[in-house]
Amino acid sequence: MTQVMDPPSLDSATQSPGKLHGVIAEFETVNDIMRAAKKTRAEGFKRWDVHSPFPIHGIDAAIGIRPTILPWIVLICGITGMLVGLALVLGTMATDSIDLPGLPGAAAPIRGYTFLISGKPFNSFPAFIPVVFETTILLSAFGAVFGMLLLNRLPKLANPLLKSVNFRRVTADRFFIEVQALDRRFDKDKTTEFLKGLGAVSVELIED
Amino acid sequence: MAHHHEPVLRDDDKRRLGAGARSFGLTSIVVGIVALVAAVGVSKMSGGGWERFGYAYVTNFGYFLSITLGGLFLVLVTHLFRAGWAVAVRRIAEVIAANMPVMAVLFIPVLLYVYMGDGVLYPWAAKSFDEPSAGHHASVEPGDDVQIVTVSTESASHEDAAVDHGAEVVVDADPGGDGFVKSRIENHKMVLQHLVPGKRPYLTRWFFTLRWVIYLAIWSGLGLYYLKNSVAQESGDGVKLTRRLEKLAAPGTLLFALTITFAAFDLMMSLDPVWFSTMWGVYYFAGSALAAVAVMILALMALQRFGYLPSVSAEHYHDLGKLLFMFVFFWGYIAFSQFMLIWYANLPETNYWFELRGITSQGGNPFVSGWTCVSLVLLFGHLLIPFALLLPSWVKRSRVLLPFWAVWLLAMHWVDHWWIVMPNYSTPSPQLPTVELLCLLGVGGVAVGCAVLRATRQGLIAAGDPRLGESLGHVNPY
Repeated sequence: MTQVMDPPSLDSATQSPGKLHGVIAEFETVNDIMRAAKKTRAEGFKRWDVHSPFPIHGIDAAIGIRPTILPWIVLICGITGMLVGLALVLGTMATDSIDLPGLPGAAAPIRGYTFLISGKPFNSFPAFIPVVFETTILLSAFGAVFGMLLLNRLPKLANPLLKSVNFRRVTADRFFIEVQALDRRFDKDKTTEFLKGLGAVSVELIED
Repeated sequence: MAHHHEPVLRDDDKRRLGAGARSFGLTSIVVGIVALVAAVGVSKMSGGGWERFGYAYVTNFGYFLSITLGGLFLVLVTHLFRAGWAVAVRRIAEVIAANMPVMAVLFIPVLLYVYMGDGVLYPWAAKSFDEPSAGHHASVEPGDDVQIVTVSTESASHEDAAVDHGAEVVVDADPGGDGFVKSRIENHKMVLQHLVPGKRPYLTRWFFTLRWVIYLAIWSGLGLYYLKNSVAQESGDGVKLTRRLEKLAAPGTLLFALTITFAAFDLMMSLDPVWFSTMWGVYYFAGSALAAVAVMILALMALQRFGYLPSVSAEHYHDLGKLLFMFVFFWGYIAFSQFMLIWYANLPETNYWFELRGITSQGGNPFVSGWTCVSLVLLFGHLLIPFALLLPSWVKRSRVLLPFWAVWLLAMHWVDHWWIVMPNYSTPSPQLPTVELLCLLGVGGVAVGCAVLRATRQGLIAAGDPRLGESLGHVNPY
């Protein structure tokens, strides 16, 4: 039942033998993939993943996915946004004059718009809060969206796994474990043998 | 795991509160009544008389009414959104909401103040209210030739605004002193009395009474109906009843939003018939929902300590913690919006309300009164500190920190109500809140005691809800 297939099975004429991306192992049931995922994790692999047609309850724990660092990126972006917002409103609205003698070209002192608004002091903090709030939110949202894209290495126009014909069934009824060649413990032959030993229906080498 | 079975209720989940809870409830009611009598006594002895007791009572009636309304809101909104996760903890909110008839009974003293107090609590309820120059609530018609003498040197905007209203303010020149603020506010109010007659059709005794009958009927009806049908699911067609309750949740939420808005206007905004804020209703609602989530967290923790509801897990607390965090921020957002609009517009008919609470730089000193400190306590204690420290997800899952913040926020919610109501009685600084805290024990003893007695009458979990399995198996992905 277990068979190792040579990579590019499809339109091989156009393919030049590339760098090894990794190895995928195919499983038939959720129970198989859960068991295999736990063993793969126990083996000490770090750069590997499970592909499945639907979300599997408990698979995150079985893979051992660590918490994302995205919140810290968002926090740093949020604080940056707050400081930018503060600098903006204080610099433009609450600055009578700032002397920057060291700055080349800044011969005249920098002056903000000293608008008198309903008799309030120039530095009227409550009026600035909405602006500071909005810049904080804006940069936090940028941090969340672009940080997520960066961490997921998106946009990605092609994935080497899509070259595999077997892998197409991942959107229908098959489950796959992918171990990337970048993993420190990866060894072309040993990893293939290991995955075969987990009861995979097929194990396939994927080239980039 | 794909075919994982939905978890089922354990025997202890279905256990009902026993004799211990009943005696706790009865003791609580007795303590409450004793505390209310003691509050009247202390108020009389300290020279506050019925006036101070009235304000203290409204403070605490508003406080416990807000928790009851918050419970009703959580029941309505979880049905409206078909919140599966909440089913395991929803019975607590249902019991809180079904306590509304008790709040209707506790409202009777407020009505007595309206009919027999002669304006001691609600100035508009005074017989002499419509007569000109009655006490310090004298009315000044626009265009009246008011003597214009100004000693204020601090604020150009105040003078301009006052000129716009055709009258000027007479103040004694004591900038920075307590008398300065107080006399300034009194003068402001006197000048602004001409705004009150427009509200007269609304602020009458019979209309006030009619409105409260309607509010309390709607709230009690909704609260009792949801609890009754949730219990009926255990023996009847659970799916059919859930559909019915979900259908009712939409008009119920609309009714809730309208009634809580006007009730907040009536109960606390009309303590000062001059002042108005269109955000008042949502401000009261924000605190209500926050307090109700905090009470739910504490009630669940307490019940679990006695071995009830073993199936309620960190996942449910995590979600309640998220709601708690959200309402902390929502309250801050609304409170700040209300403040900023009034501060920015700087109209005398609204900004004196914050001046009264010490949020002013009149007299050149930003710390003008004792209420300034309370205002700052609210800014930091009700918003900034809990916002920052409730942010991490592990805090929301902690069995030590989450109840700590729930207690903290309930205390802050009380300070909020104290800060709303009591400056109408004692300015420029608060008095030691002896009567107010006795009333907290009094109204709280009766309200909590009756809620506990209500909780003994049925199971503590919505065992017949078809989404219970989903709730018991609920997991937060993040």
